[in-house]
Order: sequence, then structure tokens, then C-alpha cells
Amino acid sequence: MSLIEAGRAAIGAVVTNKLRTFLTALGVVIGVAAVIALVSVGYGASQAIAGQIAALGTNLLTITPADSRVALGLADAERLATRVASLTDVVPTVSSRGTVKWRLNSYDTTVMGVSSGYLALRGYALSGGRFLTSVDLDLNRKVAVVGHTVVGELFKGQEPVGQQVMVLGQQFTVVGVLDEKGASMGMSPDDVVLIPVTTAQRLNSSDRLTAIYAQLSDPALAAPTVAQIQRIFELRFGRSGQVRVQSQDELLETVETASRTTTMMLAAIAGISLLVGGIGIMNIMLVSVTERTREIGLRKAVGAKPRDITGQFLLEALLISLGGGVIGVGVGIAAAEALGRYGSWTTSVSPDSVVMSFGFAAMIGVGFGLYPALKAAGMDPIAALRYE
Amino acid sequence: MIDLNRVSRTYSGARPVHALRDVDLSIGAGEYVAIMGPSGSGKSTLMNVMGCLDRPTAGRYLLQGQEVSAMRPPQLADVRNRMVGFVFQTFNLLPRHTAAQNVELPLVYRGMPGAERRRRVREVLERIGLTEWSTHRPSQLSGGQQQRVAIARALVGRPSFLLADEPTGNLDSRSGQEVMVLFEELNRDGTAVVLVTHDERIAAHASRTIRLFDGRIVSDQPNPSPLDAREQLARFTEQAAASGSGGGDGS
Ligand SMILES: Nc1ncnc2c1ncn2[C@@H]1O[C@H](COP(=O)(O)OP(=O)(O)OP(=O)(O)O)[C@@H](O)[C@H]1O
Ligand SMILES: [Mg+2]
Repeated sequence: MSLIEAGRAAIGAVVTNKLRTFLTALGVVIGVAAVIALVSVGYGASQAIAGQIAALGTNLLTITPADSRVALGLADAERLATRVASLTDVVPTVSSRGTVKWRLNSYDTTVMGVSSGYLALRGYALSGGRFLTSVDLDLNRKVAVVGHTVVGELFKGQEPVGQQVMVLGQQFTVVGVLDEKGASMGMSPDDVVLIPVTTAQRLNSSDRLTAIYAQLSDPALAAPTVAQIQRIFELRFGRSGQVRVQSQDELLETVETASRTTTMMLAAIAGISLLVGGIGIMNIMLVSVTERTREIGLRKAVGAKPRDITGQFLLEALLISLGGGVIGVGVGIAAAEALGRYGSWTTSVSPDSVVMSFGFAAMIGVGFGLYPALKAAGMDPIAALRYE
Repeated sequence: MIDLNRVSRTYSGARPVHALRDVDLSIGAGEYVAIMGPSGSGKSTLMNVMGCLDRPTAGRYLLQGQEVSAMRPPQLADVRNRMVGFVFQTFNLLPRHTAAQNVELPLVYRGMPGAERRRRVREVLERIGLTEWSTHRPSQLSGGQQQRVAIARALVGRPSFLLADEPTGNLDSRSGQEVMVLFEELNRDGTAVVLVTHDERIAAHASRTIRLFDGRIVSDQPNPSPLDAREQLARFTEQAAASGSGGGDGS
């Protein structure tokens, strides 16, 4: 029997029982759609984070204490700046959450003590006023540069430069405003108040730095530079492993590994529903084979070979699962869109998940259709014809 | 053409049933054979073995010189498809297929191209007088018409012999007679016909009668003067006209 004939016969059988076919395919539709939609959530999240990290600049190194017993100070930042030739800029930072107040308004934000190099290092631009200078740092001035979000929340459209604000209970003068950098998920680069790092240390009454940011002259030098920095701190602390030095690439990799794991877990959960859909197909195919025992007997009596019968039932199972797969891809993409638009997720449909879930649906059609098909093909024609 | 050599068919079970015991039988090309016998004597079993739907449990079955018992399922399917035309008492038409599609089925499994298939189906339906019913489904046909569709399906592959297991068993006598006319014509054209019947008048059309009892052939006799099916049918028509009830099945 030719493939066209077999296909026509399979379509005929499948449309004969429309409701049953639809309900059977529904299992696959839901499975495929769930895989695509859930993976789009995981994939969207990992893409958003990766985008943020890339926005920081690929040649940024972050040096943080390995644990709370290790204290990094301004001298450490100084030391790196003078000793490591491949670093173009080194910025010591102290960050904390804090409340800023202006007149009757107050707003919770991140207060970061930084040095003058931070503007260029993070790729900020100013929309007004000036940035912090080394003089501000030397004199521990109480001056602040505010981020775009803070301007909107605290000053409600008033010109901030020149205003007096309360930061962590002390009065500061706003000297500059950062241009909007574009908010994405997680920590927004616009939701920040920047003050001189020395002033921040005094406010905290502690010399400890939260992190040291360093700019590489060339991303290719990341590995040797990290090694050199580790050596410097090994000498300083007399032990290795006291600081963590992360390049953006590493960070990206860590985040990607984490989100890949999440995505895989989501896919696995959705895959289970696809599997259940497959069992539904098998169940219906077994019922169908039993119902059509006489038909099978007759087909064999007029010369159908075992593989004709196998092919016929396999094709029916495949038609249901592929039909369900096609609809499932559509529903899944629509669901991903809807989640992205009306839910609080960033979704991105991964082409891999579409190909994979569709392929899985086809495999399920063959896998779960095979047993009923072989059962049909193995029937004895006389017994099948006598079946009531 | 058909050569059974000490063929037995035993149904195994708690009490084994010997449906056929040591049957020796030869049927040549172009013969017209009726098989008779009481219920349970093994007629259907014999037909199924000859039609390659069933295998003997002992003995040899040669079909046109080929040993059937040694064949694998795909080869067996091929023999059923090409050499045998089988007509069942219960018609066994596919309910969701039209008459033409039912007739076409053996050719589909033969892998014949669509155009040739449709030509052959048209020819056969015309010969059987069912052209105008070709797009009807079995449920829209009378019993006699359904059996003629089943015969058309058996014929369309141009088998060398036609096996019919009580082909008239489910038909009224007039429809049965029409089927007999068909068989007679086929036989005249050279197809061997083997039919099972309980009805002596049906068996009287054949030129040889085999009687089975308890799985054995108890008599095998030629019939020197077989009935002419066409004459019989004409007689039916006359009777119907005489009694004034012009009922036929509208062929
Ligand atoms: N599948 C089976 N399993 C067990 N025994 C069977 C089976 N098929 C037939 N038989 C037995 O084999 C014997 C012959 O059966 P078969 O159908 O050949 O009889 P038959 O001559 O065609 O009878 P009838 O005129 O009633 O159709 C019977 O005793 C029957 O019970
Ligand atoms: Mg019988």
C-alpha cells in the first residue's frame, strides 16, 4: 500500500470520530503548549539577566570579600590600581539600602559610596549637574548624585540639583542627576543615590568596602589579571581564597547555568504532561484496534500485509500526535505571549523548545502507537473476522 | 491447482476439536465445486485453509505448486491478494467505505496505481450491475446488493479461484439466485468456483459435489447435469409475475 493511500485511510479513520480524536489530541496539545510556555518563561528570564550583565560591560571585574571576616579597604583598591597594569580603572564601593528624604517625601533606595571613576565604569551619563570628583572624596563632602528613578520618586519632577536631601539621616546637597539607563528586571541601575565612598565609610563608621570594581583594558586579559589579583590578596592576607574575583563572563556563565537548570526542570515537568498525553493516545489506539477487529480481519483477508496494518494504525496515532503538536505549538506561543504581556514574566519562545516538544510529540505518537499497531498486525484473520 | 494432502486442522483446547481429518482433495482450474455437510462438519475450516486464511495443523497444502504451509505472513498475504477471491456469508464490507472503495481494497494492497484501480473497479461494478450504487455505503444497500459488492471485491483482483462460504445463506431465494447467475458466468469465463451450501438446489448448479462429515470427505461426486442458473432466475421472475407481486431488489 502506498503512503498516499495509507495517509488517506488514516485521515478518514481519524475524522470519523472527531470528538474522540480531538480529546485524545488535547493531551498532546496541552503537553506541547506547556513545554513551550514554561520554557519561554525560563528562557526569557535568563535572556533578561544575560542582557543586564552584558550591559555592565564585558570587561568588568568584581572583587568581593569571600566572607564577612575579610575586610577590604581603600588601600586595597589603591594597591590594585598601582600594581595591576591591565586595569584601567579601579573603583571602591560601599553600598547599603537606605531612606532618602526631601521635604516631606521619602524614598527607599540603594545608597552607594563610589569614587569618581564609577560614572565611566558603569557607562552612565549625566543629565544634569556634575559627577562626584576626587575633591569630594578627599574632603568627605556630603554631596550626592541621584539616579533617574529617584528623581521621579523623590522630587516629583522638581529640579533636583542644588536641593538639600537627607541621606541616612545626614544632610546632603544634590550636585548631579544620572541619565536614565533603562530599567530591566532585578536591580535597576537607575534606582540609586551615589555619594563619595569616603563619606559613606564615615556614615557607616566602618572602613570596609562592599566591593571593588575594576575595568580591564582588554577582555582577553581577564584570566591572567584575575590570577594576579588573587596573588596580591594572597600576599596581603597570608592565605588564598580570601576574595572572590569575578569577571562578567564568569557571572554570565553562573547565571546561565542556574537558569538552564530551571528551564530544564520546567521542561521536564511539562514533558510529563506530554507523556500523559502519549498514554492517552495509546489507550485510544488500543480501544480503536479492538473496535475495528473485524475490519482488520477483512483487510488481512483481502491481502493486507502485517506492515500495511502496522502502518495504518501507526499513521493514525502519528496524525493525532502531530495534529496535537501543531495546535500545541500555536497555543504554547500564544500562551507565552500572554504570560509576557499580562503576567509579571519576561518570556521568550525558544526555538529549541518548539522543535523539541514537536519532535517529542511525534516520538510519542510512534512510541505509544506502536504497541497497538503491532497488536493489530499480529491478529489472526479468521479469529478477527469472527470477533463480535 | 488446489492440492490437499492428508490435511488436518485441530483446534487445541481443553477438548481438542478435529475440524478436518486427513483430507485429500484436488480441485483443478475452472472447476465448479459445491461443498455440503451438516453443521460443524468442517466446511468453513476447509474453505479457510484453502483460502490461506488458516493453516493446516498437519498435512501439505499445495496451491499452484507452492507449499502454503511454509509461507511467511507477508507471502501469505500476497497469495490471498492475488490468487484467492473470498466471499463470506456475512459479506464483511467496511461500513464507512462506499461500494467502490470496498471493491477497490484488494487492489490498494496490491499497490496498483490509482487510475488503473478505478478503471478495474468500474469494469467489475458494471459487470455485476452495480454501477449506479458505487457511491453508496453498505448500510444503504440491500443484502443481495451487499453480497454482490462482496463478490465484486473478490473478483476485482482476477483471482484464479473464488471461494464462497455460504454466499446465499443470508439472502432471500431470488437474491441468492442472482448470485448464482454471477458464479455461473464467472465459471464459464474460466474461474474455478468453490462454494459451501446447505441448500441442495444451490449445490445442483455445481458440476461436482463434495460431502463432509465430522471432518472427513465422505463423498465426492460429479454432477453430469448441473442446473442453469439463468433459467432458474427466469422461472423466479415468471412466478413473481404470475403471483402479481413484482417485488425484486431493483438491480
Ligand atoms: N476457533 C475455533 N476454536 C475451536 N473450535 C472451532 C473453531 N472454529 C471451528 N471450530 C470447531 O470446528 C468444527 C468445524 O467447524 P466449521 O466452522 O468448519 O463447521 P462448518 O461445517 O462450517 O459448520 P456450519 O455449517 O455450521 O458453518 C466445529 O466442531 C467447530 O466447533
Ligand atoms: Mg461454516
